[in-house]
Amino acid sequence: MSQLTILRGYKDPDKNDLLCDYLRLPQSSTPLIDLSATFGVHGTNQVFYGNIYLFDHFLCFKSYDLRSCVATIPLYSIRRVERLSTINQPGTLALSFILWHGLKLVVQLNTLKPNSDDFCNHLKRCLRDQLGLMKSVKGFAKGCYSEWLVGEDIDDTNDANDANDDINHDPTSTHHHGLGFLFKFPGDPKKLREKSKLRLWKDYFRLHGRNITLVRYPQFTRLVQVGLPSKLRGEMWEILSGSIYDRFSHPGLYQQILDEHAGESTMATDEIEKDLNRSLPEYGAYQDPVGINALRRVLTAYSWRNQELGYCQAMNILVAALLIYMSEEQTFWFLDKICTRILPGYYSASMYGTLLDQKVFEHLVQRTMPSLHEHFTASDIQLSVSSLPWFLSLYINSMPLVFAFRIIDCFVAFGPRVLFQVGLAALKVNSDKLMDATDDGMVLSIFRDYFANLEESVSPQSSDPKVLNITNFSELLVVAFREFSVITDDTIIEERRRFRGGIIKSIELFSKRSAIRNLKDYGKFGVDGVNKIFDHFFYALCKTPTPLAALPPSTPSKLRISEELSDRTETVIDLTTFRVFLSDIASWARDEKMITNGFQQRVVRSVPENEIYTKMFHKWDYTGRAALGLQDLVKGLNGVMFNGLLDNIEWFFTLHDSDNDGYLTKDELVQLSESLLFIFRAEPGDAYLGAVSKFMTNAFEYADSLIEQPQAVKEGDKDKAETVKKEAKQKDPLSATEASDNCIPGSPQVNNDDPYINLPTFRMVCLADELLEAFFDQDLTRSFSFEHVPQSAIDHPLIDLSTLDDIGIGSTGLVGNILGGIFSKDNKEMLNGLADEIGKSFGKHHVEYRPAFGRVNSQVEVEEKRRPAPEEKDSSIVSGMANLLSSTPSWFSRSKSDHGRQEQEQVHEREMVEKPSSGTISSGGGSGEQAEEEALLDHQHTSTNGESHLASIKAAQEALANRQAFAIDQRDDNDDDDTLDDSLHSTEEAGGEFAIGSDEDEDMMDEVDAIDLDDQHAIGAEEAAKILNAPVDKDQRI
Amino acid sequence: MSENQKPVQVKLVLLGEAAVGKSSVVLRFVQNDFQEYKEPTIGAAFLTQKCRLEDKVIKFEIWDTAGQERFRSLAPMYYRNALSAVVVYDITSSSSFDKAKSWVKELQRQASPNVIIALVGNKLDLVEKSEENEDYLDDVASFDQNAVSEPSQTHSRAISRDEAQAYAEESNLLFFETSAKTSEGVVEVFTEIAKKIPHEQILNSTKSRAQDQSQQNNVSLNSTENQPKQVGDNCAC
Ligand SMILES: Nc1nc2c(ncn2[C@@H]2O[C@H](COP(=O)(O)OP(=O)(O)O)[C@@H](O)[C@H]2O)c(=O)[nH]1
Ligand SMILES: [Mg+2]
Repeated sequence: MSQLTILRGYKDPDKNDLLCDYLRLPQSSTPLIDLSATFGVHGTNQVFYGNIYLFDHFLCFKSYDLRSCVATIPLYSIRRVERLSTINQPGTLALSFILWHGLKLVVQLNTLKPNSDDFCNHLKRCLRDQLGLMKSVKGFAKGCYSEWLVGEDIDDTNDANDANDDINHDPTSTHHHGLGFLFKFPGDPKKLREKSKLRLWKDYFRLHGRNITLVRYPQFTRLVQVGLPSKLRGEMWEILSGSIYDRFSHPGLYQQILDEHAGESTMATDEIEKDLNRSLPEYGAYQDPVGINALRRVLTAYSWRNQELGYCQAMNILVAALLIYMSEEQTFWFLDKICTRILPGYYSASMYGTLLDQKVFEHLVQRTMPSLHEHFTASDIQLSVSSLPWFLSLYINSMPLVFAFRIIDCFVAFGPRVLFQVGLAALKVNSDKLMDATDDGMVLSIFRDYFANLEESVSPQSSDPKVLNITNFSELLVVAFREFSVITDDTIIEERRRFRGGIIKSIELFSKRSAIRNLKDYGKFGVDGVNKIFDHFFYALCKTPTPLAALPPSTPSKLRISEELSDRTETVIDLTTFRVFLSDIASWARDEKMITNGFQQRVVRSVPENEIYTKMFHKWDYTGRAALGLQDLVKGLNGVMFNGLLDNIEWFFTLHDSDNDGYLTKDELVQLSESLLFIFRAEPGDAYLGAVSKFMTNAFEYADSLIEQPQAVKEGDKDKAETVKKEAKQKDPLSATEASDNCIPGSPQVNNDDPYINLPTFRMVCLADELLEAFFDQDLTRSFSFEHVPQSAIDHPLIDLSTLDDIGIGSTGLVGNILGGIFSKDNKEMLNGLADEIGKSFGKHHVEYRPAFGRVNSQVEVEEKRRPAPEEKDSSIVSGMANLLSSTPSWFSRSKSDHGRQEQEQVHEREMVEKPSSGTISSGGGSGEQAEEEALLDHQHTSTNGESHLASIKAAQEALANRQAFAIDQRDDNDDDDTLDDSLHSTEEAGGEFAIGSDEDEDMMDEVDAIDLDDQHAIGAEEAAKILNAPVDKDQRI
Repeated sequence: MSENQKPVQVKLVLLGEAAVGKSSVVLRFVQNDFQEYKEPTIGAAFLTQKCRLEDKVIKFEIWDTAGQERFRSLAPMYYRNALSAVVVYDITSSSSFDKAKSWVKELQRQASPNVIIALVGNKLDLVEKSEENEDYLDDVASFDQNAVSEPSQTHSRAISRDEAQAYAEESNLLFFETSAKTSEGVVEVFTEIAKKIPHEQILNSTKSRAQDQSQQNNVSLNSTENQPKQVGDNCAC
């Protein structure tokens, strides 16, 4: 999709998206089953109430108390399912799931039998579908550090003894690992209490599952908050983000992408190359080809995987940081997760996610620290200047690495809210200093100093070692997770929803400004004009996006050398989008039907098929790249919208002169006539048909006569043209017809692709017909108009333009009003169809085509003549709108092959009606034309099955004239503030504490205890034991 | 130099295509240094530099923006309220000159109305070599055309001084050619901007603010070598 309109594709996440994100599922999908259930891991003494979800590939549990328990179990890791006895609660179903490594999960469904039967049936089917993957599990798990850890005896000597000794085992051959195993992990392992942490995790894994089967229990939260141990960190990030499931299901893809594109270079790879040496240069691995190459490979592979995104500065820093803890493949999938699910839009071309979250952050500051916000406003301080890098680099670029990684631990485990909470805490802690800051630079310095000193004690003077030990960083975390615990996932979702539209709009406005600024030539349009062209360009792209793949391969990959860097962001459109663009601008380039079905009247637009679009596309492709940019469109339109009679004739001639040699071939002449017929297809009556037929006859006759005296006529040689004309006039009309017949393939004199007719001759032939003359004189130029873009759609980014086929709806009658009231973009099409069907069954449904020019007309013209304002003519659209008395001309659907013959008939038929008249057949003509108009009217009436519906047409006309300008259902985005208030005031639940680990480990957990005074309920131990230890009832091996 | 004087704060923003040498020019100005690997920049880097012009002390607050195209929409955040802007291009790259022009246009429409814009063609050292040795290079030129792997030798001027000068005059910009590598012309950019700043106006309008004491080194602009034009009458910081 093009960069300009890509934002229109972003939607607020719906309920399912949020659930799947929460469960860290690889794809968003609807659960097959969603039941209330009780869940526990055998061997623990805790059981939780919540929901069990069955997806195609996963079994998930989510406790009602969101912070208690979450489990996402891939079905391919389930080895056995057993039915448990439920004597205590007859009628309920309890199952135990035995995972591949023996862990047993117990699920009791709190529901009626039909539901649990349903669950079992689905489960059986899904498990069977996943059988094939089961054998991959063991091999995959072997690559996980956690697997090694559970099997290993960590020596129980104190951390102080030898912090490095278990680096001695050779991890590189067995499991995925980051650069840290070779280049050391940031921070002092003793200070970080690596061993205690590993021991705690080991215990946790033994009881609660690990890697792809890890179940989150309440203890889990605290283990994450205290900081993940370095060796386990990479894998834990994978698990916590869910990217591990992507890696599982795409084995080898990373390497495959690299192999496929080896040696290729793109814009993205060039940009990546520039940044390789400025990505954590202080870390050892990045002063070494080992690290640099890994960094290059991951960034490059991802730029291929996600070509729309490519590469964004800051990703280099993120990836460099990740690679310390993760293997390349792990990093690759984790990065994908971040870019597409966790922080969508952060690194995209528009960076809309980044901008949106900055807006959200600013608003949260306003809500939580109003006086600080006021100070910023008063001093004209823009917070984003400081905070944008925090979010974009996940604090990696702002804090010493050890601390940034602790933040990332929490961010991966608890979601994007962490970025906001930490940011708010940083503001809060520094609020006194910030209140004295007077400009962006000072604010930036305050944070720079603060983050540089995170390791310092909060109160270095204190004599109490416990107090002395509280660092700025622990204070930051406590403030973040306690004082700002009101900031929840929902808060962020709500806030993002609130600002999304505004952000998108401002980005679009920005792109518009720069697109227009980058125009080298405005033509005769002026700023206003090019703005309107841009709007149409944009609108067409929204309705019919040009897929990246549709563009010639040159676009992203061939433009590589730095010389061409700057052009890259130009948005271009393909033929399909161009047709839509043109159809909105030129009245003849669209089919407009007025549909009346008794309930409503609406105008439906569509783009017909015709060669003329292709011809214009190629003529306007000034840079020869098989795609049009804004500049091409401006230039192209400039070449037709300001033309007088002769210019237009030349324009039309050139359009069909594909080799630009100043001559049309016979084929091209036939194509030109077909273009004319196409352009006039919706005009009532057969006046235009006659004109085109006459044109063809004359054209062939004159051209043939010129061929007989080769080179007699040179371009612009008027005298000779006159002579030819006279000669031609003396000829017998019948022989002229013969001549034109001769032009059909097989003509002895001229090949169909030889130069045949030149501009002067063509001009002469055109001028010989009043209708054509009028067409070239005014109608063609006037048929272009910029008025049709529904500005409201452009202005409201949340409206999905791709569904806007109908423009303007007028509803009549009670049912119509009701229909109008409940229209939304989703159901509109359906309702329109319904209304049409009802209309048809009552005989009220009819469709009228709106003419493109409305020059030849009947009834309405009489009315028009009475109108006082003659300037009305300036807009063919206006008169087009009024000229609703049209119907499908009888010749409209005629197949191409009979053209020649039927045209002849038409000419004769027509000549009987038409008096030889030298005046134009247009509004403002004399009374002599009245008769003819009536004749035309007659003709029309017969062509609409004789059905007279003047009354309804009048009504339609009125409705159309009075209707709101392109009223589309604007989705109102007035979020109620209550939701946020609610979530801000939500009360915390207090609960008991859990003791985990040994006393010495307990010490380490102090820090987190300060954060997390509230813990979660589990079901009473007795009841839990009952559920967890229920005997197996019936073996249900699957 | 009396340092107790209240400095005139001048917000200055650097804009231009990626890799034209914005950061290098700043580094040369602030630390009189040229080096390959620098701090990563996300959004914009912020540096300050005090210098002295006649009897006034000027404190440049320099915002060095990230070059990647997609960060362009963030640029207004950095150039708003800027008194001056340095738009840099690489004299060996014509696309960077087009990009510079487009920045100038954007600044003239979107930035503060009186913003002082300096157009700077950087990497002068790359062409000076070849211009000096033009006779000799003529013979070698045909070989060099294809030797893409050796960039420092093959680069030739893509934008003539006259062309840029004419554009600058027509658009009312200061114009310089510099080399961050040799330091040629760098200090002059900032000196000339400092001269054009309406100091009194700023001093009067400057809000009384707490002095930011953080490590600002007062460099004498005169100490820079290759700076023949720097004599007593102008910037003596
Ligand atoms: N020869 C030469 N190279 C330069 C000069 N200025 C910058 N460079 C090089 O150009 C590249 C990009 O410089 P940088 O300052 O990062 O550009 P920025 O992206 O505009 O900030 C680096 O490799 C610099 O070493 C110069 O004056 N002469
Ligand atoms: Mg830079």
